[in-house]
Amino acid sequence: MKTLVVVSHPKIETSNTQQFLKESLVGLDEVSWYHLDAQKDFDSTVERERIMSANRIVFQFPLYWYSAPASLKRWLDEVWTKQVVYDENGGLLRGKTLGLVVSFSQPERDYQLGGREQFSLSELLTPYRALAAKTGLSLLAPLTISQFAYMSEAAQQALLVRYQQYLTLDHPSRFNERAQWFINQLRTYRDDTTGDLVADQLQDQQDNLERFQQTLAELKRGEAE
Amino acid sequence: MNDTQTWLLTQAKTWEQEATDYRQRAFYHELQAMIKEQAERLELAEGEVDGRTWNHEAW
Repeated sequence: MKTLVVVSHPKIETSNTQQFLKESLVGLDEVSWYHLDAQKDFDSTVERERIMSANRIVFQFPLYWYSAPASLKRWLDEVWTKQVVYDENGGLLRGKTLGLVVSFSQPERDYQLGGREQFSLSELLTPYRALAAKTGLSLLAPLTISQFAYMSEAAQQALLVRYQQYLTLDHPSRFNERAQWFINQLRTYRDDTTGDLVADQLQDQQDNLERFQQTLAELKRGEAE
Repeated sequence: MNDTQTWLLTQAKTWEQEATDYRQRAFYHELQAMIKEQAERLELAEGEVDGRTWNHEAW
Protein backbone atom coordinates (compact mmCIF):
# COMPACT_ATOMS: atom_id res chain seq x y z
CA MET A 1 0.00 0.00 0.00
CA LYS A 2 1.32 3.44 -0.95
CA THR A 3 0.66 6.10 1.64
CA LEU A 4 0.98 9.83 1.17
CA VAL A 5 1.40 11.78 4.41
CA VAL A 6 0.35 15.37 3.77
CA VAL A 7 1.77 17.51 6.56
CA SER A 8 0.43 20.94 7.30
CA HIS A 9 2.51 22.82 9.84
CA PRO A 10 3.91 26.35 9.47
CA LYS A 11 6.73 25.85 11.99
CA ILE A 12 7.65 22.25 11.48
CA GLU A 13 11.29 22.62 12.46
CA THR A 14 10.29 23.61 15.99
CA SER A 15 7.66 20.91 16.36
CA ASN A 16 8.91 17.94 18.39
CA THR A 17 5.75 16.05 17.49
CA GLN A 18 6.31 16.38 13.75
CA GLN A 19 10.03 15.60 14.01
CA PHE A 20 9.20 12.49 16.02
CA LEU A 21 6.62 11.36 13.48
CA LYS A 22 9.01 11.96 10.60
CA GLU A 23 11.72 9.91 12.32
CA SER A 24 9.19 7.11 12.84
CA LEU A 25 8.94 6.66 9.08
CA VAL A 26 12.55 5.68 8.45
CA GLY A 27 12.55 2.33 6.65
CA LEU A 28 8.92 2.53 5.51
CA ASP A 29 9.54 2.56 1.76
CA GLU A 30 5.91 2.80 0.72
CA VAL A 31 5.24 5.95 2.74
CA SER A 32 6.03 9.40 1.40
CA TRP A 33 6.14 12.61 3.40
CA TYR A 34 4.86 15.81 1.79
CA HIS A 35 5.18 19.07 3.73
CA LEU A 36 2.74 21.59 2.30
CA ASP A 37 4.26 24.68 3.92
CA ALA A 38 7.53 24.01 2.11
CA GLN A 39 5.80 24.41 -1.30
CA LYS A 40 5.51 27.74 -3.04
CA ASP A 41 3.06 26.84 -5.76
CA PHE A 42 1.14 23.75 -6.69
CA ASP A 43 1.38 22.35 -10.20
CA SER A 44 -2.02 20.79 -10.76
CA THR A 45 -0.70 17.92 -12.92
CA VAL A 46 2.00 16.99 -10.42
CA GLU A 47 -0.40 17.26 -7.49
CA ARG A 48 -3.04 15.19 -9.23
CA GLU A 49 -0.48 12.47 -9.92
CA ARG A 50 0.65 12.63 -6.31
CA ILE A 51 -2.89 12.05 -5.06
CA MET A 52 -3.76 9.39 -7.61
CA SER A 53 -0.64 7.31 -7.01
CA ALA A 54 -1.47 6.90 -3.30
CA ASN A 55 -3.78 4.25 -1.85
CA ARG A 56 -4.00 6.10 1.44
CA ILE A 57 -3.87 9.84 1.96
CA VAL A 58 -3.21 11.10 5.47
CA PHE A 59 -3.75 14.70 6.54
CA GLN A 60 -1.40 15.38 9.41
CA PHE A 61 -1.61 18.62 11.34
CA PRO A 62 -1.78 20.33 14.73
CA LEU A 63 -5.17 21.71 15.68
CA TYR A 64 -5.18 25.48 15.11
CA TRP A 65 -8.42 27.10 16.21
CA TYR A 66 -10.20 23.75 15.97
CA SER A 67 -9.07 23.19 12.40
CA ALA A 68 -6.01 22.54 10.24
CA PRO A 69 -3.41 25.26 9.58
CA ALA A 70 -3.96 27.36 6.47
CA SER A 71 -1.65 25.40 4.16
CA LEU A 72 -3.94 22.37 4.12
CA LYS A 73 -6.96 24.49 3.25
CA ARG A 74 -4.98 26.21 0.50
CA TRP A 75 -3.87 22.87 -0.97
CA LEU A 76 -7.42 21.54 -0.87
CA ASP A 77 -8.84 24.73 -2.40
CA GLU A 78 -6.30 24.81 -5.21
CA VAL A 79 -5.79 21.12 -5.97
CA TRP A 80 -8.86 19.19 -4.86
CA THR A 81 -11.11 20.54 -7.56
CA LYS A 82 -13.96 19.26 -9.69
CA GLN A 83 -12.74 16.85 -12.38
CA VAL A 84 -9.69 16.06 -10.20
CA VAL A 85 -11.23 14.54 -7.09
CA TYR A 86 -14.91 14.35 -8.09
CA ASP A 87 -17.11 14.86 -11.12
CA GLU A 88 -20.80 14.72 -11.99
CA ASN A 89 -20.76 10.94 -11.51
CA GLY A 90 -19.33 11.05 -8.00
CA GLY A 91 -16.00 10.75 -6.25
CA LEU A 92 -12.86 10.03 -8.25
CA LEU A 93 -10.91 8.76 -5.25
CA ARG A 94 -12.97 5.62 -4.70
CA GLY A 95 -10.97 2.70 -3.37
CA LYS A 96 -8.60 4.95 -1.44
CA THR A 97 -8.67 5.75 2.25
CA LEU A 98 -8.29 9.03 4.11
CA GLY A 99 -6.55 9.15 7.48
CA LEU A 100 -6.20 12.05 9.91
CA VAL A 101 -3.30 12.45 12.32
CA VAL A 102 -4.18 15.33 14.60
CA SER A 103 -2.14 16.72 17.47
CA PHE A 104 -3.14 19.21 20.15
CA SER A 105 -1.82 20.60 23.40
CA GLN A 106 -4.83 19.90 25.62
CA PRO A 107 -5.69 16.64 27.36
CA GLU A 108 -7.87 14.41 25.19
CA ARG A 109 -10.69 14.59 27.77
CA ASP A 110 -11.13 18.32 27.01
CA TYR A 111 -12.59 17.39 23.63
CA GLN A 112 -15.91 15.88 24.54
CA LEU A 113 -19.43 16.87 25.45
CA GLY A 114 -19.19 18.87 28.66
CA GLY A 115 -15.39 19.04 28.38
CA ARG A 116 -13.43 22.30 28.47
CA GLU A 117 -13.47 22.71 24.71
CA GLN A 118 -17.19 21.78 24.54
CA PHE A 119 -16.88 19.86 21.29
CA SER A 120 -15.61 16.39 20.53
CA LEU A 121 -12.90 15.85 17.96
CA SER A 122 -15.38 13.92 15.84
CA GLU A 123 -17.56 17.04 15.68
CA LEU A 124 -14.65 19.34 14.90
CA LEU A 125 -13.30 17.05 12.19
CA THR A 126 -16.68 16.56 10.51
CA PRO A 127 -15.73 18.62 7.41
CA TYR A 128 -13.26 15.87 6.48
CA ARG A 129 -16.09 13.38 6.60
CA ALA A 130 -17.96 15.51 4.06
CA LEU A 131 -14.83 15.77 1.92
CA ALA A 132 -14.30 12.00 2.06
CA ALA A 133 -17.93 11.35 1.14
CA LYS A 134 -17.79 13.74 -1.81
CA THR A 135 -14.57 12.34 -3.22
CA GLY A 136 -15.29 8.66 -2.58
CA LEU A 137 -12.59 8.23 0.06
CA SER A 138 -13.19 5.85 2.88
CA LEU A 139 -12.45 7.60 6.19
CA LEU A 140 -10.34 6.03 8.94
CA ALA A 141 -10.85 6.88 12.59
CA PRO A 142 -8.35 9.65 13.38
CA LEU A 143 -5.09 9.02 15.17
CA THR A 144 -4.99 11.70 17.86
CA ILE A 145 -1.86 12.89 19.67
CA SER A 146 -2.53 14.74 22.87
CA GLN A 147 0.17 16.64 24.78
CA PHE A 148 3.15 15.02 23.10
CA ALA A 149 5.54 17.05 25.28
CA TYR A 150 4.22 15.40 28.43
CA MET A 151 4.22 11.84 27.11
CA SER A 152 6.26 9.20 28.94
CA GLU A 153 8.82 7.25 26.95
CA ALA A 154 6.49 4.25 26.97
CA ALA A 155 3.65 6.36 25.59
CA GLN A 156 5.93 7.68 22.84
CA GLN A 157 6.97 4.15 21.94
CA ALA A 158 3.33 3.15 21.71
CA LEU A 159 2.66 6.18 19.52
CA LEU A 160 5.54 5.32 17.18
CA VAL A 161 4.17 1.83 16.57
CA ARG A 162 0.54 2.98 16.32
CA TYR A 163 1.58 5.61 13.78
CA GLN A 164 3.50 3.11 11.63
CA GLN A 165 0.49 0.79 11.69
CA TYR A 166 -1.90 3.65 10.96
CA LEU A 167 0.01 4.44 7.78
CA THR A 168 0.47 0.89 6.54
CA LEU A 169 -2.41 -1.38 7.63
CA ASP A 170 -5.75 -1.70 5.84
CA HIS A 171 -7.63 -1.61 9.16
CA PRO A 172 -5.24 -0.28 11.80
CA SER A 173 -7.80 -0.61 14.59
CA ARG A 174 -8.24 -4.37 14.12
CA PHE A 175 -6.22 -6.48 16.52
CA ASN A 176 -5.70 -9.35 14.07
CA GLU A 177 -4.08 -7.06 11.50
CA ARG A 178 -1.90 -5.43 14.13
CA ALA A 179 -0.81 -8.83 15.48
CA GLN A 180 0.11 -10.02 11.98
CA TRP A 181 2.07 -6.82 11.47
CA PHE A 182 4.15 -7.55 14.58
CA ILE A 183 4.87 -11.09 13.41
CA ASN A 184 5.91 -9.92 9.95
CA GLN A 185 8.10 -7.14 11.34
CA LEU A 186 9.74 -9.53 13.75
CA ARG A 187 10.70 -11.78 10.85
CA THR A 188 12.39 -8.87 9.09
CA TYR A 189 14.19 -7.70 12.25
CA ARG A 190 15.59 -11.08 13.31
CA ASP A 191 17.16 -13.85 11.31
CA ASP A 192 18.29 -16.02 14.25
CA THR A 193 16.75 -19.25 15.51
CA THR A 194 15.14 -17.65 18.56
CA GLY A 195 13.59 -14.99 16.36
CA ASP A 196 12.11 -17.68 14.12
CA LEU A 197 10.82 -19.63 17.13
CA VAL A 198 9.11 -16.59 18.63
CA ALA A 199 7.59 -15.58 15.31
CA ASP A 200 6.35 -19.14 14.66
CA GLN A 201 4.86 -19.38 18.14
CA LEU A 202 3.11 -16.03 17.82
CA GLN A 203 1.78 -17.11 14.44
CA ASP A 204 0.43 -20.37 15.88
CA GLN A 205 -1.35 -18.47 18.64
CA GLN A 206 -2.73 -15.99 16.15
CA ASP A 207 -4.02 -18.82 13.95
CA ASN A 208 -5.65 -20.40 17.01
CA LEU A 209 -7.26 -17.12 17.98
CA GLU A 210 -8.69 -16.64 14.50
CA ARG A 211 -10.00 -20.21 14.48
CA PHE A 212 -11.78 -19.57 17.77
CA GLN A 213 -13.22 -16.35 16.37
CA GLN A 214 -14.50 -18.21 13.34
CA THR A 215 -16.03 -20.94 15.51
CA LEU A 216 -17.71 -18.27 17.63
CA ALA A 217 -19.13 -16.58 14.58
CA GLU A 218 -20.57 -19.93 13.43
CA LEU A 219 -21.99 -20.67 16.89
CA LYS A 220 -23.65 -17.25 17.03
CA ARG A 221 -25.14 -17.75 13.59
CA GLY A 222 -26.47 -21.14 14.76
CA GLU A 223 -28.00 -19.58 17.89
CA ALA A 224 -29.75 -16.92 15.83
CA GLU A 225 -31.44 -19.47 13.57
CA MET B 1 -0.69 -16.67 30.85
CA ASN B 2 0.86 -20.07 30.05
CA ASP B 3 4.57 -20.97 30.09
CA THR B 4 5.04 -20.39 26.36
CA GLN B 5 3.49 -16.93 26.55
CA THR B 6 5.65 -16.04 29.54
CA TRP B 7 8.70 -17.16 27.57
CA LEU B 8 7.63 -15.03 24.57
CA LEU B 9 7.27 -12.04 26.86
CA THR B 10 10.68 -12.58 28.44
CA GLN B 11 12.27 -12.87 25.02
CA ALA B 12 10.69 -9.64 23.78
CA LYS B 13 11.84 -7.87 26.92
CA THR B 14 15.41 -9.11 26.44
CA TRP B 15 15.41 -7.86 22.84
CA GLU B 16 14.09 -4.50 24.00
CA GLN B 17 16.97 -4.15 26.45
CA GLU B 18 19.50 -5.18 23.82
CA ALA B 19 18.17 -2.92 21.05
CA THR B 20 20.31 0.09 20.23
CA ASP B 21 18.01 1.57 17.60
CA TYR B 22 15.16 3.65 19.05
CA ARG B 23 12.57 2.37 16.58
CA GLN B 24 13.46 -1.26 17.28
CA ARG B 25 13.37 -0.66 21.03
CA ALA B 26 9.88 0.80 20.65
CA PHE B 27 8.89 -2.19 18.51
CA TYR B 28 9.99 -4.74 21.13
CA HIS B 29 8.33 -2.72 23.87
CA GLU B 30 5.03 -2.76 22.02
CA LEU B 31 5.52 -6.39 21.03
CA GLN B 32 5.20 -7.20 24.74
CA ALA B 33 1.86 -5.38 24.86
CA MET B 34 0.73 -7.35 21.81
CA ILE B 35 1.78 -10.68 23.40
CA LYS B 36 -0.26 -9.84 26.52
CA GLU B 37 -3.29 -8.80 24.48
CA GLN B 38 -3.09 -11.86 22.26
CA ALA B 39 -2.93 -14.13 25.34
CA GLU B 40 -5.93 -12.38 26.87
CA ARG B 41 -7.96 -12.56 23.66
CA LEU B 42 -7.11 -16.23 23.25
CA GLU B 43 -8.25 -17.03 26.77
CA LEU B 44 -11.48 -15.07 26.34
CA ALA B 45 -12.26 -16.58 22.94
CA GLU B 46 -11.57 -20.12 24.16
CA GLY B 47 -13.75 -19.54 27.21
CA GLU B 48 -16.56 -18.14 25.10
CA VAL B 49 -16.44 -21.10 22.68
CA ASP B 50 -16.64 -23.48 25.67
CA GLY B 51 -19.47 -21.49 27.22
CA ARG B 52 -21.55 -21.36 24.06
CA THR B 53 -20.87 -24.99 23.17
CA TRP B 54 -22.17 -26.06 26.59
CA ASN B 55 -25.13 -23.69 26.66
CA HIS B 56 -27.96 -26.18 27.23
CA GLU B 57 -30.60 -23.57 26.40
CA ALA B 58 -29.33 -23.56 22.88
CA TRP B 59 -29.40 -27.36 22.51
